[in-house]
Amino acid sequence: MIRIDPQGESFFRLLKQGESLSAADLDQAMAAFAKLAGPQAACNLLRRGEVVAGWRKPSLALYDHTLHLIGGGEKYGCTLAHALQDDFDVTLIAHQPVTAADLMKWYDLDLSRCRVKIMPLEFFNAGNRGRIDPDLVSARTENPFLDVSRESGNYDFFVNNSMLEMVYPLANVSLFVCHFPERQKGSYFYVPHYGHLVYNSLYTAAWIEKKWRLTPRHHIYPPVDMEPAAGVMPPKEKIILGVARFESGGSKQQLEMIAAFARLRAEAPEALRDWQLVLCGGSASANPYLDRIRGILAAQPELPVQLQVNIPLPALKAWYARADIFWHFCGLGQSNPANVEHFGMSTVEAMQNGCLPIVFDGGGQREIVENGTSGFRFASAGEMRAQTLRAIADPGLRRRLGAAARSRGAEFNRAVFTARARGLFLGLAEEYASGNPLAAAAK
Amino acid sequence: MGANTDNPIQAEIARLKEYYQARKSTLSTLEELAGKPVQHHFAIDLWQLSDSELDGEMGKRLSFLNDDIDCRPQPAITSHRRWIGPLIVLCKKIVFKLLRPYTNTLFDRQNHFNEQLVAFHLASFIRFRRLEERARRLEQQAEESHGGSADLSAGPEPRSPRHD
Repeated sequence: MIRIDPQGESFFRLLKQGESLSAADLDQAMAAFAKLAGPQAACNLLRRGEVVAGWRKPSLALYDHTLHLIGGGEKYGCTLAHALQDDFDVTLIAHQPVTAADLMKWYDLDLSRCRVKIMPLEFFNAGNRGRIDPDLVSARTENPFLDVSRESGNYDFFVNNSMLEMVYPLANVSLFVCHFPERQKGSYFYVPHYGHLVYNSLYTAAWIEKKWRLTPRHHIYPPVDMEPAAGVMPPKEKIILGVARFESGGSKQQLEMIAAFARLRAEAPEALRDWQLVLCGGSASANPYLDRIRGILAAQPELPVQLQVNIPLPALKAWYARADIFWHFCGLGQSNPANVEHFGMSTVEAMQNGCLPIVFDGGGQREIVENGTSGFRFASAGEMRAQTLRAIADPGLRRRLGAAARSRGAEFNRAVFTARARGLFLGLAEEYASGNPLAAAAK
Repeated sequence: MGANTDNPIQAEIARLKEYYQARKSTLSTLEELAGKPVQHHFAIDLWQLSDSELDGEMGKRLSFLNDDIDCRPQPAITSHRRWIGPLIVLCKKIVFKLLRPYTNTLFDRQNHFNEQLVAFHLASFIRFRRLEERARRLEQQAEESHGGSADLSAGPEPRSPRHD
């Protein structure tokens, strides 16, 4: 008769050594174990046993409740899946229809060895047009994400890439990827139960500590892959570029960019001659904020501002290649830390293309742009105007800082992301397959 | 990957996994699945919230208060006894119905108070929002008249320009 300890070490040792173990003994031992720890723990023990014995590679589920939408966080998750699909049996969990082919096309990634599992959530279908809004969940409602928790227990590794703290992890190894702690520690808050907390920027890490009183351990910057093909760098043109989604609330501040450009032209007409402002970004079909921008531009036809909405990737790459200066205002005048750029992927994209970035001095932008070395950071609109005029007046400064921005941008590319992600996950997989006790949940 | 039938232990582990998987699917609560007590709710520290977060929180709490205006008891009358259960339920229902006029007298007054209180809170909330909007406009006008940067080109100056 064998006895299985709570961590399962003795069981894993037997499996690894290939010692004789009768089915009857195993049945009895498992029954005793399940009586104490429950059926989920019994499943987890058996699942890990298969990996420890070397019978299969570990399974990994990556969950994202907005996987069906194109976004930076979703690209982060898909790049992670791409980096791990050879070493793990990867399943992507979503709530609304999306296929691996869609994801491959959106993010230019090979995800051919990943499966996609769609789990509809009834809770959000009534009166909410299917939009999954975690803010509708409170202490007065049931937790609609309980089914995702249940599903998480069917894998060796569970990665929550959703910033959705309402999913309790039941897998043997669990990781919570936090792109920003948007909600407070309130109802159905289960982040402390995850074994590992991954963060995308130091800005995010600081707010995790402040809002959730948790210390994240693993830092992996988002992957940015907008670098032009080697040696291909067309001459720069007199273009100030802004790239950001046209958010209906206007948090990316395209209106402010237009007004700032108009003011600069009024203050320094000679310097601004021949310069144009180009605003690229995605938008939903009905967007009152975008309508407002279009109205303002229609009223000032002499203003050289171009709107490029929902353009394909090659067209966006062409704008990055041509633009000399990049503006990013997100965060200016905001008191809500969630409205400040948590990282700033578009800033890195511009830098990889040798644009001189002039960005708001806050959030993740501080970790990207070294002020005065690889671009400029501003704290006020006045400072931004002064920096822009300085850059416009000095082509040598633009060339020098643009070149520095390009090498700085390379520090955030996909290869760097992949190396860091694989370092973390393969280390965890090795620990998992060893049969040794796993690291305790992050507190 | 399917279980290797040549290896009896591997096949037995696959069978046991299916068995416990089936048992697991009958569990309904998170506590049962996790095999331990789980804390589901944490009190929100309102002092830590930003202005926009407080706005959301005020709206949410007000809607909860609104839902709770009617505090008359509406208990689900049941009995766990197999044979005399229906009789017990009937008796409880009769007693409850007989006492309702008296309890309603008490609760009607409380309901009226709740209604007034929620209306008062909502009015205060609306007034607060209007005052805030007015203050923002005045602030912008003052900065513009000083040649400051509070026009559209700048957006409102950050109350806390650094967020780290």
